[in-house]
Formats: sequence, C-alpha cells, structure tokens
Amino acid sequence: MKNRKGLTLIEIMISLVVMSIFVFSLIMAFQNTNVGIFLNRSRTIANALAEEKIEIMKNIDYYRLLVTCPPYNTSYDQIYYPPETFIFGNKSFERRILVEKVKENPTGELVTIQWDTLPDVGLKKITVYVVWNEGGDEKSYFLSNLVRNPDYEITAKIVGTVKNSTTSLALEDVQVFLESMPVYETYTNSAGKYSLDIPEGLNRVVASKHGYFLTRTEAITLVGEQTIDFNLLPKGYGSAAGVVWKHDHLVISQVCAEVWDMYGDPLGRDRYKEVIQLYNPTTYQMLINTTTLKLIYVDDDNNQIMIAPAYKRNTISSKGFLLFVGSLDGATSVYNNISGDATYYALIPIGSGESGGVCIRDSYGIAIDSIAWGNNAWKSAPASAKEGDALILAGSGGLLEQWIVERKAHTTATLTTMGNGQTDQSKGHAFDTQNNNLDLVGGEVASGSRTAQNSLSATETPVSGTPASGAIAFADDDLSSMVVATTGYYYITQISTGPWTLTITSGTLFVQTTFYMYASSTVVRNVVISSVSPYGYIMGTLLKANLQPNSGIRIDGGGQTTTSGSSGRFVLPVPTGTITVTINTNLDKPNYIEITTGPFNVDFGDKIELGQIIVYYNGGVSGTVTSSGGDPLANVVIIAADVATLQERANDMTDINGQYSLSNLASDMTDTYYILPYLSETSGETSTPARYELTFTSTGTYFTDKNFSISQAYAVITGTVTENNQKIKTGVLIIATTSTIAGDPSTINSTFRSGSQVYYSCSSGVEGYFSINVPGAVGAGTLTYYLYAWYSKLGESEAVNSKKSTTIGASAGGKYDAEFSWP
Amino acid sequence: MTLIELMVAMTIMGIIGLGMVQLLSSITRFQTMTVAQIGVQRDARMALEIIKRQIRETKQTSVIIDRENSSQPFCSRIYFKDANDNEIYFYQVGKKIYMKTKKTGWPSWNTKEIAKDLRYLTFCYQDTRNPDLISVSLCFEKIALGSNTKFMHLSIEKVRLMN
Repeated sequence: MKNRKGLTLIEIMISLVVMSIFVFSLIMAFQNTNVGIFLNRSRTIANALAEEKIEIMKNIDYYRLLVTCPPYNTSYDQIYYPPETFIFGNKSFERRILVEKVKENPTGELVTIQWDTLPDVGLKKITVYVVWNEGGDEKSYFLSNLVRNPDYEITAKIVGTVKNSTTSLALEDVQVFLESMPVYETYTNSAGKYSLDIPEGLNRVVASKHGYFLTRTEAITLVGEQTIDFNLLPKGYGSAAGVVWKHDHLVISQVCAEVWDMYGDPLGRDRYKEVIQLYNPTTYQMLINTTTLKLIYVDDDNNQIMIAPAYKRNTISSKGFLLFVGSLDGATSVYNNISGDATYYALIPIGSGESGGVCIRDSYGIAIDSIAWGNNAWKSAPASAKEGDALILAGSGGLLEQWIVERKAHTTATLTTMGNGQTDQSKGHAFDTQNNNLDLVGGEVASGSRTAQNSLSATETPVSGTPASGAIAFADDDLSSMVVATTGYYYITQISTGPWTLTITSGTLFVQTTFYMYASSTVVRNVVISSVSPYGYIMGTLLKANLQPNSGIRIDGGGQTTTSGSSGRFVLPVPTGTITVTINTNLDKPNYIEITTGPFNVDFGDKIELGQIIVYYNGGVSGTVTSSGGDPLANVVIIAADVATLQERANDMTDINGQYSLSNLASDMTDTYYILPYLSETSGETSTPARYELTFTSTGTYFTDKNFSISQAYAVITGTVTENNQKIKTGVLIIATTSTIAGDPSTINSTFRSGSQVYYSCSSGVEGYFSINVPGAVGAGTLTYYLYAWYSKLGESEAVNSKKSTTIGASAGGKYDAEFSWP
Repeated sequence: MTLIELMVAMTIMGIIGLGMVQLLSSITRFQTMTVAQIGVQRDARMALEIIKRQIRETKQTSVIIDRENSSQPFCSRIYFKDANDNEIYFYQVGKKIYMKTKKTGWPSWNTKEIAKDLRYLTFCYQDTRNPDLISVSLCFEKIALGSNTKFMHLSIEKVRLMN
C-alpha cells in the first residue's frame, strides 16, 4: 500500500487547469450562443414591426403621406409620425418613420430630394427604423419601400444629340432638363446623346454646359417620343493676372542716421539724432511697448544691441506710423519738427563701411521684420538682420549724412518718387518680398525732401505688401479654373466674357474685386488681401425665367450673405462644414420665390458650382377649409397643381383653424394653377368649390380667401382590441356602418355595394390597434355609427366567431376612440 | 483509482455533460424557432403575393366577399372574375387557404391549397361604395416547442382593382 502510485499535487493542478479551460470555453460558447439567439429573436421582432408599419404607411394616400423631418435634425417627426414604443418580454423597441421625396437620377439610382422641391416628382420613400438595446449596444433594423403617385404618368420621352455649334463636335456632360421641372434632368454621354423620360405637357427643354451659352427650345407640347437636338455656342474668353499682396505684419519703413560726431558721443559713436520709423500696413491697430516689440540694432560685426525706447505714445493705427527718435541724451524727441513717439540713445553709426541692420521682434523673439544694409566691397551686412540679400549701398556701404534707408511703396518706387510732393509720397511703405535689396532703397536725400511721420501723422493706404505666396485665385465665371499663385503672382486663363468677380484667398485672408472680361484680352489686377476668409466658396448663376440674369437676389449660407451681381452670378464665401444655401431668403425680394438647396460639404478652399438656377416670380394663395357645418377642418391637404401637367407645385396642410397658405408658386412659366383640397378617393368627401383656377397675371400675385367647404369630411375612429387584457395580434375584423348589423355581416356583392347600407371596414394590426375612416355628419352635429368587431378562434376546420359592438357619434373632422375586449 | 477519485471524475463529467445537454438544447431550440419564424413569414409573403396578383386583375363588379361556410370566419372568402372571365376563389377553411379556379369555358373547378398554419384571413373594402380598393389581411401562426411558443406574422395590404 505504501508503494501505490497516486496523483501528485502537480498532476491534480494541471488536471484542474485543463478542466477549467475546457469548462470556461464551454461556458463562453454557451453564452455566445445565447447572445446569438436573443439577437436573432430581437431582429425577428424588429423585422415584423418594420414590415407591419411599412404596410400601414403604404396604405396612406400619396398626398397624405407627409414628408417627415430628417431624423438627424429633429429626432423624427413628432407630429404626424411620432416614434412608437413596444415592449416584448423585457425589451423595449422603438419604431421610427422617415418619409422622403426621392427621384431617379440619370444612372437609375434613387436620390433624396428636398421636401419642398417643386414640382413633386410623384415618388416618396418610406423607411421604417426599429431600434432597441441589446446588451448595452443600440441595435437597429430598417426597411424601405417606395410609394408612387398614381396620378403621375411619365409617358413622354425626349432624345437627342448636343453639339458644339462651331465645331459640330458632340458635347459630353451637357445638362438637359425641363425648364419648369428641372428635377427631370439628364446628361449627355460621350457621343453627345441623351434620353429623358418626362411627363407629358407644355414645356421648354433646356441644354446647359459650362463655357457655352445656355440654349432652350420654345414652349412645345411634349408627348410620346420626340427628338430634340441642340447646338451650343461656345463663349468667348480672356484672362486675368496680377500680384496678390497681403498685409499681415509691421514693417520697418525708414532708418536714418543723420550726423556723425565722434567727440560728442558718450559711446564714442553717434552724436546727433537718428530715426527708426515703423509702418503698420495691416487692418488693425497695434499696441507697442517694450514687451510687445523688441527693437534691435545689429552692428557690422553682427552684434545684436537691444534698444530700450522710452515711449510717449505707443499706439500705431492701421496704415499709420510710429517714430523712434534716437539722440545723444536719449530723451530728445523732436526730429525735423516732428515729435517722436519714443526716444532712445542714438547708436547707429554713419560712415563708409558701416554696414548695419535693424530688427523688430515680437515678445517671443520671433522676427517681425528685418533690414540690413552694407556693401560687400567694404564690409558685409550683418547676417542676423538680413532678409534675403541686404540692401547694397553703392559706394559707401554704410549710411552717410543725409542718407536714409527707406522701404519702397511698390516695386518701382525710388527715393525720388517717394519724396515730398512726388507720385509715391503717400502710398505707404509696405513692399516686402523678404529680400532687402529688392524691397529697400537707400542713399542721400535732399534737405526738405522728407517729412518725418509719427503716430499722429495721416495714414497711408499701401499699394503693395508681402506677396501672398500660395494664394488661391479664381473668377466666378462658369468656365475658368482655380489657380495657385505660387510666388504671389496669379494668371487665370479661359475666363468667360462678361462681368465677373475675382476672388483670392490665402490662409485666413481673402479679397474680391470685380472686372469685365472681354474676349481675347487680359485684365490685370494687383490686389491686397486683408479680410478674414471663411474658407470655402459656393457659387452659381441666378436667372429669371426668361433666362436673363437675375441680379440683386440675396443668397445665404453658413451664416454668410451675398447678393447676385449684374450677370446673376454670385460667390458665397462660407465656413467649412455642411452648408445649406438659401436663395432669396425669407422672400427678401417678395416678387421672387425662395429656393433652398444643399446641404453641401464644404472643405477649405472648396469651390462648389451650383450652375444656373432659375428664380421664378413668386405667387401665393391662402384660405380656410371648413366642414359644411362651418367648423374649421384641420389636416386637410391643399394642393396647387399646374394646369398644363396637373403636377403638384406646392402643398400645405390646414392648421387647427382650418387655414392654409401656399406660396412659392412660380408664376413665370405656368401662369394658371388649380388650387384644390386633396380628398381621399375612398371617402365620400366633396368640396365646394371643387377647385379654384387662378391665373397669376402679374409678378408676385397673391390671392386670399380661397376657401373650401368640405361635405361629409372624414371622422377617424381608432382603438384597440384585447383578449384577457392582452392585445390581439392576429387580426380582428372591424366594420362601421350607419345602420345596425343584427346578425352576421352581409355578403358583399355588387347588389350590396350599390345599396343604401355602406360598410367601412378594416382589420386590426399586429399591435392590436385599428383605425377606420368614416364620413362625418353633413352639416353640424354628429352621425351615429354602429361599430362591430368579429374575433375568430380557429379549430382545424372551423372557427368560433365572437362579436362585439359599440356606437360612435361622428362629426366631420372628429377623432374618436373605441375599444373591444374579450372575453 | 480510489473511490473518491472516481466520484470526483464522475462529478466533473456530469457537470460537463449537463452543460453540453443545455447547449445542444439551446441550439436546437433556436434552430426550431428560426425555422418556424421564417416559415410563417415565407408562407405569409407567398400567399399574399398570389392573392394580390390575382385580385389586381379583377373585374370590380364581379367581386363577392363572404365565407366558405357558416363554420368559417366572416369575410374570409373572395370570389371574382379576371379580365378573361376566369373565375377565382380564395377562401379559408380552418387553418388553410385554398385557391379555386375555373377557366372560361372549362367545365370544372380546380382547387389547391396554397398555405397552411393560417390564423386570420379577411377581405374587406375600406368603403363599400368604392370598389377600386380591397384590403387583404392575413395572419399565419405556427406553434413550435410546445404549446406555449407561437410564431405569427400579420400582413395587411390594399390592392387596387384594375378592371
């Protein structure tokens, strides 16, 4: 017994570990399987809920199927289709509904269009989302379906070829569309051919392509298949060029070391007054003091000597000056009868070979501007003060008496032209290409040819600046392309003839200027960018219905506003992000309609072209809808339909006061509209009058008091069916009628349908909920309805039918509740 | 091996075996549920498509809605003629849906079962004055995994009569 082999502790432990791993794996597998089971169960429920709602929504008449708010905007439509919550087991499911207008694009894809896009294209997309929480994660399931307006018939077709009228070559990517219904559009292929399915009716067909004059047909009746060819005339073009300047920093505009007297100078160098003058070409005022600005003199041995000015005034205005006066006592401030803004001990030597430099730096020591002068034949300029090449002072290499170093006003300015009374005297001193030898001039100036400028002197608007290297330049025409001004010089070719706006942007700055482009010419514009740029640009051309430019129309987007120019062209600078553009915002020009387009994703430097947009004249109509008893009827859809095509151009739903208002009715192309209430085809509702036929004879016509009286307007009876307090999910037959059903419901055949008794019926849905529409009373008061419900339980071959009933007094437009419960 | 070792081993084996049984049971249950659910959805979709396709071509004046016999639910049978005057019935008997057809000029009716596991079938007009639209509602219900677990699918669709 003593020698019997048993299990050692290690063996037991290994066995336990192995067993544990196995058991743990088993548990994990079990858990995963359970998760899968529950997830599939939830998905099955979600699928059932989505399918059910899709079917309910599809049963709503097209016009009454209201387009909902985008879900990302308002968390689904809370008024007409609010989210519904269902509890299955211990899990909550929320059902959300999205109804969108959609259209088929030329490639056959469905794309969502704005809810107020007119005219309506007769296609809506219903999407039902079901969301629930599964193990802490939000899960979702959705189904989509399409509903087509049965009144719309896309039976006509136009085909054709588009060519260049000059070369007769086929044109690709030409947009072809119906003028009054631009949602019907297509583009030509590489052979210049197009094909477009359209509704029948009177219309004009338009062909449009960048760089070509827009062309359209006369108003013609489009029916069947017709061939319409276009020959587009190319536009003439020219070019624009120039230099882009920016003003983003303070510059040293003048340095003067007037007199050298080695005996009177405590430092053994300067004796009399000297001057350093700063110029502020920016658009903002600056506060200058010993903290914000370091003023440094660099001697010919490249030693940096900090100047410590005593300030009297320390504000330098936009386009203004600041004068530092150096003297032997460090306190003398008057120079040429001009009071210096600050004083300091003079230290700039004069004399041949006395190269030197001056720097200004910010509080972190980062260079703002530097200048250096010298002559290599004597002594090189100090390296730490140079920008590019130092100014070569011919002959001397240093400042002499009555010599100055002065920053140019522009490229070709000279000491002479910048003197008092000369052409460049008051053009600022902003020329700064980061190369001292190009930017500065130096030499002797005649006595009285210069007047010192301090912070109290008149400001000067600069005509040059620092080249905006890398700036982006573009014209707002529809032909040319954006260019990059690599060195600050831009050259834009192929700009269409006409009046345009040139936009140039660099970093956070931008500028716009207008010009007229003549064919085969070049416009030169040297511009200064100073305004803060909002980064992206949206542009387009606004036209009237006669295709003439529509100028002076307000355009808004991203918090920015602009106005269309004389050519109808606009460029809207916008911040980056998602931008929606509104044209003629809030009917700024009441005679024209408001158009909303987008959203567009705008990135820095983006140039988004909207093309040509026709802004029609605006018409409107308003009125009230009442029952024949005189009560206001809410939720009645009122449509404005094009008389020619019967297509919907605008719609509204009456509010609780029965009032409606239709606007944005374009009155250029279609002068006459039908205004009518949409009455469900399954109702007995009749309207008096059936419709109005309104002719918009002038721009901005607005009709009021176009009222409707609806006879036998619907009442809605809704309710639930339950068994033992549980919702019946398998369907219950509901019938409402104005006379009693003593026993079983009648056989419904042609005799019954033409008889006096009418059944209004439906089945309850999977939620145990039903909704049934019945005509309300004619006139005031109520109409009594007998409401019956039959619930059947099945055997293998027979059913047990159980009947319940109740009565409802229904007035026109009323809403009523009813409940049926078993046992 | 000692008795204790044997008992420990059996206990462990028992735990593992029990887990395996539960796992297999869950998988089987899940599979049964899925098959049942898919089944009723498929049956509902198929039956509804058949009925809708036929009713769409109906002559409106020919439609009669009643029931197959007094033991069936109300409004669970529809009769109509299509554009070619072929006569068609859809009706419920117990838990099954039947389609009965007779082609123009043919002497006899042809009856076939198109679905089972039916729970509810109703044909009704929203408004009997308007013969254009008929609402078809059907619900399928299948019992699986014992009498307490039911899988059902209810569909309601309006069909526009074209003739």
